Amino acid sequence: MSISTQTSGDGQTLTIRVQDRFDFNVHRDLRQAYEAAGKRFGNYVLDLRGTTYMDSAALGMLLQLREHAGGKRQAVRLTNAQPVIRDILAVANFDQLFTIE
Amino acid sequence: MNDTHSVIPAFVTLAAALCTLLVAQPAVALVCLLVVAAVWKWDGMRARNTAVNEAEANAQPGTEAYDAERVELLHGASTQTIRQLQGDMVQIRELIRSAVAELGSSFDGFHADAQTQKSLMDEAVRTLANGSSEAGAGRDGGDSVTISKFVRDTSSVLQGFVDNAITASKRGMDIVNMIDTMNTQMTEIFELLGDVKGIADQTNLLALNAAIEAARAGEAGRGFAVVADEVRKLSLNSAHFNEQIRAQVENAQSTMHSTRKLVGDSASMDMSMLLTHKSSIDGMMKHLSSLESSLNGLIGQTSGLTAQIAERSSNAVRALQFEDIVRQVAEHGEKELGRLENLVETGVARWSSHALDESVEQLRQAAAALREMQPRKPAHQATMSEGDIELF
Repeated sequence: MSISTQTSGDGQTLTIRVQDRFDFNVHRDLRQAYEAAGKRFGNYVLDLRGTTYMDSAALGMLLQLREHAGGKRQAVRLTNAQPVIRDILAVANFDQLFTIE
Repeated sequence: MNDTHSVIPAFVTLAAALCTLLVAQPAVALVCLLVVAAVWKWDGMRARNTAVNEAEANAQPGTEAYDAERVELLHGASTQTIRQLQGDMVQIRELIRSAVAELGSSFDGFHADAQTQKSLMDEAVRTLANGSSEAGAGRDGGDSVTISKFVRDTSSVLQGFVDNAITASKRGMDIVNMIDTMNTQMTEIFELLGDVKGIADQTNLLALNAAIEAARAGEAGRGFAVVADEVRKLSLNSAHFNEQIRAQVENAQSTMHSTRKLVGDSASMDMSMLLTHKSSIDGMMKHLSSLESSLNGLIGQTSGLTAQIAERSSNAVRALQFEDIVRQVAEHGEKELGRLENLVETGVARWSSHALDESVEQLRQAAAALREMQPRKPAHQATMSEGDIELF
C-alpha cells in the first residue's frame, strides 16, 4: 500500500506518507486516510519523501485535503519533496496554498 | 677681372637682401635660398669651365665681352629658375585646392552619415525600450508585438493552462468523491434488497403453510387454498422483482465505476510536459533580458562613438581652412618671385648700360625700396594647431 498514516503523540497532527506514484490510483486510500478518523486534525503533514511522480490529479487531491483541513495555508504541510516534485508544486504556485518544507 | 668679380657678389647681395626681406616668410625664403644656391653653384661651375675652355672661348677673360656673356648666362638661368618656381607654386596651390575640396566634401559626407547613424541608433533604442519595458508597451496600447511581449503572453497563457488543469482536477476529484459516496449508498440498497428478499421468502413459506392447513381442512378450506396459492405467487413475483432491481442496481454500479475511471483519467494530466515548456519559456525570458541589456549597452557605446565621429569630422573640416592660408602664402611667394625677376632684369640692364659701378649701391636701394613696398605678411602661423584659424 502506497499510503501510510501516523498520528502524533498529542493526536493533533496526522502524517500521511505517499510512496512512489502519487496519482489517481491512490485517491480512495488517501481519502480514507484522512477521513477514517472521523474528525479534523489541527495539522496535516504530507510526507513526500518517497514520492517519485505526481500528476494533476494529485494536485487536485492536495486541494481536497486542504479543503478538508479548513482551507488555511498553515493547515497542510508538504515535506521532504524531491526536486522534480518541488518543480511541479512551483509550477502550480502551491507555495501560496501550502506550507512547503 | 674686377668687373667680373663684382657682378657675382652683386647677385648674391641682391638675393641675400631678398632673403632678409622674406626671412619671416619660410616658403619664399626657401625659394630665395634655392635661387641663390643655384646661381652660386652655376657661377662656380661656369668659372671652372671658363678656365678649362679659356683657349677656345670667344671672349677673353678681363674683356667686356667675356663679362657680358657671363652676365647673360646668369640672367638666363635665374630667369628660367624663377619662372619654373612660379609654375611649381601655381601647381602646388592648385593641387592643394582640389585635394582640400575633395577632403572637405568627404568630411561633410562623414558628418552627415554620422548624424544619420545616430538617429538610426536612437530609433533602435526607442524600439528596444518599447519592447522591453512595461511602460513602453502600455504607451503603445499593447498593439505592437515584440518578442518579449510574445514570450510574456505565452508564459501567462501557460500559467492559465496550469491553473485550469488543477481546477479541473480538483473538480474531477470532487466528482469521484461523490461517485464513491453514491457507491456506498448503492451498497446500502443491496442490503435493503436482501431484507426485501427475506420478506418474500418468509411470505412464500407462510403461503406454503397456509396451503397445507387449507388441504387439512378439506372442503371447507378450498377457498383458503386458492388465497394461499395467490399469496405464494405474489411472494415469488416479489422475489423475482427483487432480483431484477438488484441486477439494475448492479448495472448502475458498474456504470458508476466506469464513470469514476473516466473522470479520474481526465483529471490525471502529466505535469512533466508542462514543466518542460515552463522551463524553456523561463530560459527564453532570461536570454531575452540579457540580450536586451547587452544590446542597450552596445547601442549606447555606438551612439557615443557616432557623436565622436561627428565632432572629429567637424574638427577636420575646420582644419581644412589651412588651404586658404597656404593659398595666400603661395600667392605671396609668386609675387615675390616676380619681384626677384624684376630685380634681376634691372641689375642686368644697369650692368649693360655700364652703370655697374653704382649698381650694387643702387640694388641695395632697390632692395630697401622693396622692403618699404613689402605687403603685409599673409600668415604668421607655422602649424594648423596654433590656436584658432585666422581668416583674412
